[in-house]
Amino acid sequence: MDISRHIRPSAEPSRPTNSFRRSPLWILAAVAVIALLNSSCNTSGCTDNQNSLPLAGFYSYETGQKVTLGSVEVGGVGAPDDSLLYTAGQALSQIYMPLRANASSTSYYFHYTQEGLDSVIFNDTITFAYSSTPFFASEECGALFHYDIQRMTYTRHLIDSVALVDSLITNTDLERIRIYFRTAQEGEL
Amino acid sequence: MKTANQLTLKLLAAFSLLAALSFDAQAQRKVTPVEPKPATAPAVKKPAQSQERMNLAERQDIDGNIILIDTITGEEWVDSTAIKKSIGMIYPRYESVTVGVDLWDPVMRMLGTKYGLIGFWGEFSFHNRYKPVVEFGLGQCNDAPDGMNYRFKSPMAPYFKLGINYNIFYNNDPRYQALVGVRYGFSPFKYEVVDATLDQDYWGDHEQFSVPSQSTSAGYFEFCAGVRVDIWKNISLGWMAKYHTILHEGKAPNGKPMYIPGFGKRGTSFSASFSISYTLTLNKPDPALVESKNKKKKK
Repeated sequence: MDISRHIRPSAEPSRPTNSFRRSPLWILAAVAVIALLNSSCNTSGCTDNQNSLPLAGFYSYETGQKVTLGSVEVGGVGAPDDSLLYTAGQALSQIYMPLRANASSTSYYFHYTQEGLDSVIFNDTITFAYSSTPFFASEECGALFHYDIQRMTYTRHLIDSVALVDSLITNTDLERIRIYFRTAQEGEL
Repeated sequence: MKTANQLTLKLLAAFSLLAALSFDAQAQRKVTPVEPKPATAPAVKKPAQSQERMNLAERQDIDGNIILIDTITGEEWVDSTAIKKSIGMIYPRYESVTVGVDLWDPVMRMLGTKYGLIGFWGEFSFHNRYKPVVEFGLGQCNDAPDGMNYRFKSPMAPYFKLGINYNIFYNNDPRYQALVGVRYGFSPFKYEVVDATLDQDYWGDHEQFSVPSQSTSAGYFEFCAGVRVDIWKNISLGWMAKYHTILHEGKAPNGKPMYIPGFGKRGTSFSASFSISYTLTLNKPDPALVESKNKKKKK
């Protein structure tokens, strides 16, 4: 057998030829895999609030650390039947303070039930002045208002100061307000 | 004296014989024709003449090609006659034109969805393999999802898509196609949210409001896969499953739209199309190529 008629030299040790690698199919397959991976990261449903609720955290003025208050009542000024938003006895370190959509300002008062402070003269009041904008959050979260807080006023009985982390209040569940209390020591008042 | 003469003659005869043999051998080497290389043989370095097959080891690679290896030098040769030759593309470059209408949205609206209208598309087939596609359609939405506090409205708006399909069975009967493809879609549109309500129980407030109309645009990507089958005289039915994702969109100061024409609902990653189409064949394949392909298939 004259093999010279039927053979050709290979430039390098022969490797398996893979027709799939030369085909556009592998590109499409790669796109499909990426697409599926990407889609698996998507979330469904409303993962935020269905309303824009300012979230306020309680802090100690002396230490700057978060504190928990167990003897405070929180209510809205002008709320129907003087109803309370939070009653005493709950351990509070954060509270939601919903702003009225049909008003340009909303006020909340803090009444302290601790012995010696259980009087309206020690009440603190915080007032937020803001503008509201209709906003469509998503199919699942719906339509709501965004609030842009333009001004804050507050009394300073047990509250030392109030800080605004971000003036834009959206339905994202993040702490936007910090209320610093005068505390004798770190911990419960 | 006689003996000396006889010896001389014998020596002359022996010398003449050697000379003749030597001359004959040289003359034969000169006239032996060199065998020309066959026209079909590749220009390759032959294995040394001294090598016989006993110096060659034979093995097969993963594709079934026979590889001969010179066990002394390490050189390799592939048996070229055993290499499978690809059939290539048997359908002509400008094979056909197809136009279709996407009935997915109308069908889904009959089943209760509150968005989408209709789409039209055209496709040019190269070699029954590569099929650039253009799409045009109209989308609209008027939806008040159950349990939600609003009605989303998007008036009728156009969308455009540009892309390509790839027919996996490109050398088979074009009446039966398995397609994968990509699209880039774009739509300029408007939307608004009406009849929105907000109940603030603590304050005893019940607010009714609207989110003002916004004009925007969006671009999106689609990866699709599906089949198309001829059902009667160049009329085909086909469906495609689509994965899609938004690539870019315009500013939306009062919130992003939940519906985009040609894309569908924002929160969904998958969609589909269902089309009826008509194909106009421009060029038919060379019968010899088809026959060759069929023969290879039978083997």
